[in-house]
Amino acid sequence: MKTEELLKKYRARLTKEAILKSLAFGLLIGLSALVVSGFIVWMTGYKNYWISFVVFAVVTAAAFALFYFLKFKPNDYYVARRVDALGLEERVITMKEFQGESDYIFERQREDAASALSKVSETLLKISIPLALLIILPVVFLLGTGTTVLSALSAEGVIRSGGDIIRTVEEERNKRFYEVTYVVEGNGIVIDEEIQIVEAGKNTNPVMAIAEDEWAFMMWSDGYEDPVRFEANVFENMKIIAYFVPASGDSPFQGNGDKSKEGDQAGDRPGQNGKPGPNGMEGEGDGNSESDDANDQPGGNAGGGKYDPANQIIDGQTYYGGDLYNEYNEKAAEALSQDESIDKEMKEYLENYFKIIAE
Amino acid sequence: MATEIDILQFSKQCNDIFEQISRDVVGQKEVVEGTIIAMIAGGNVLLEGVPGVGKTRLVRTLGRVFDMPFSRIQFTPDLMPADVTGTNIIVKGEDGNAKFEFQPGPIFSNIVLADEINRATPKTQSALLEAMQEHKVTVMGVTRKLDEPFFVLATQNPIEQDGTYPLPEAQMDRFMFKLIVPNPSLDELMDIVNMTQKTMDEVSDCACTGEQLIQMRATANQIPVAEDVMRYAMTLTSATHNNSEYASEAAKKYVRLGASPRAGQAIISAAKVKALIKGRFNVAYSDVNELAYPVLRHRIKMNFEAIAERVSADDVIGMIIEELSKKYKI
Repeated sequence: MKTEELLKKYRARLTKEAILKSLAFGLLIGLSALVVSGFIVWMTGYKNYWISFVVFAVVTAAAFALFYFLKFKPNDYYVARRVDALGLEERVITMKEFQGESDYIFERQREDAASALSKVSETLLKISIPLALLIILPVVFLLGTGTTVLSALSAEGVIRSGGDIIRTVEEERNKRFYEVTYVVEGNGIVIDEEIQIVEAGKNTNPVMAIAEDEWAFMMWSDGYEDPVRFEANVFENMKIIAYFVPASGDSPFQGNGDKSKEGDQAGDRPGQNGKPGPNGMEGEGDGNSESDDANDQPGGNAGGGKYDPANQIIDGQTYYGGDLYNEYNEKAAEALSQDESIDKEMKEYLENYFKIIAE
Repeated sequence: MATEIDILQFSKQCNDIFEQISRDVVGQKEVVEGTIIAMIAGGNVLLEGVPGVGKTRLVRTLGRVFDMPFSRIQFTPDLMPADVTGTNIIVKGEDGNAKFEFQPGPIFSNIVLADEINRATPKTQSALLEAMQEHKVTVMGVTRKLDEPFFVLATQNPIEQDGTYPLPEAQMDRFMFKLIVPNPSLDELMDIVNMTQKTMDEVSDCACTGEQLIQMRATANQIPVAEDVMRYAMTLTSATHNNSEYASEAAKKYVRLGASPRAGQAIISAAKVKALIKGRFNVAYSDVNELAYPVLRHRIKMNFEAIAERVSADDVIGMIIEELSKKYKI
């Protein structure tokens, strides 16, 4: 009997194994392609998500064919090796290698091999598929179906596409934030949020400096004297100090001949009465010229500082200048009503804000 | 060209040889089988064992079982090369004139027992080199061929190293097998004592002639070896070198000098005989693995690290086989 015939049943068994292995590897490659195509479709937001199934089918079929014909299709040599591994002590591979020899010893060898083969059932050849492959396949399957479902949901508009999400995340990541800190020197407090994290170019929430009994709010470290303030158009970290002074006695911040600097600061302050700081209204004082009212006000402003009717201590209480608020609010409301460049909603919002401040 | 008769004769003679040897030698199955395999394959054998385990008795028995001239040389430090090879002596010729005549030494025999071979000086040991490899002896410029088959069966004692001369690598390499003769088991010991209480005489008979042995060798030589098996055997030999392309991890770590090409030849020759003794007509990986120990153990020189860690040559061979078995998926 020829070697091929002797090995026929074993070859059939190993062909099954080869098909299964090729299929498993083909599926692995196909599912990997499904993962990639599903991901790409989801990322790009491409509407024809069924293209992933086509990719999967084509790649699986191609990979199966390649694996079977180039890798796993059993040849006589492989079959002989596998059968020998069943305890035939290299009889079959020797028979296969010397099948063309006609000497007596080779004939005896073939007889010996055939005899040994007759005692070995083909079912003893265990079909083996690598365990790692069996573990990886379900994982890739889940990934493949997952990305395909994502792409389908994205195409149907149920969820956002990956590209959209990435753009949003990118935008979020590109946002910059700054810290604005309000601190107190003297006896008083700052309400409401002393530390504020503000997105670049945005405004802080308003804060108010309130002095304790027998103390008065003097000014902020940038010279701004209104106890209520907020920072507009923030583009850097800021630390702003609220200075409080005793209601009686000398204050290091009160103007005199040697305090021109404070006067300058007051004159340079960016704005007053809760108006946006750097880009707000022009400051009233210039610091270099004498104030018209300076000599009439408590504390004097010989150094060039400006007298502010607010923040006066009357009977031990701080006077914040409510009438000035009202006056400026009215002016602001009037300016607002005449400004055509502000839309209606914004106008309403600002008007409400002025009312709240006035109250 | 082997015939059916050759195969049957091989099988019958093997059985007879083992049967006759078992009449005088109790146990030592692996040693006896190894010696027979080496003799059929045409190799020399070095038997190593402590005194009293039956090395010399086994060789004497072999001398009787194989119906061939047998000589024994007891190696001692004062043994001279001429005592082994023979020498020219002055004799009176028929014409009354004195002339040189070659007096053959004990090497001129088919089976030579070199007892305690490591007790002779290197010079005397070297007298065996040509005989063992080329089956020739050169004395006074004249080369004489030894009768075939020719075997040297040497013994050595692994202990009592005082006054001994370890065999040089070149001579070690000429032994096909180095067989370790173990102490007998308890049952074997009882059998030995029972047997020798009756008689100390050796009772084995002749089972094989020199011609028959040569014929057995020719038959075994025709056993086919698949290329895969041949490649495996040669890889195994190469893997004993610490600097070869196929060097094993064990060799890199523990071996100073690997086996020579003679080892590869010996493995294949012996594996063919072993396969045929087992009734198989091809060489298997298992034959190669089993024979790797007696073929390689005396050809591998261990390095200092192996000696320090008490790793033996057999341990290294085992590691190499394990490594290659995984690689070849055997």
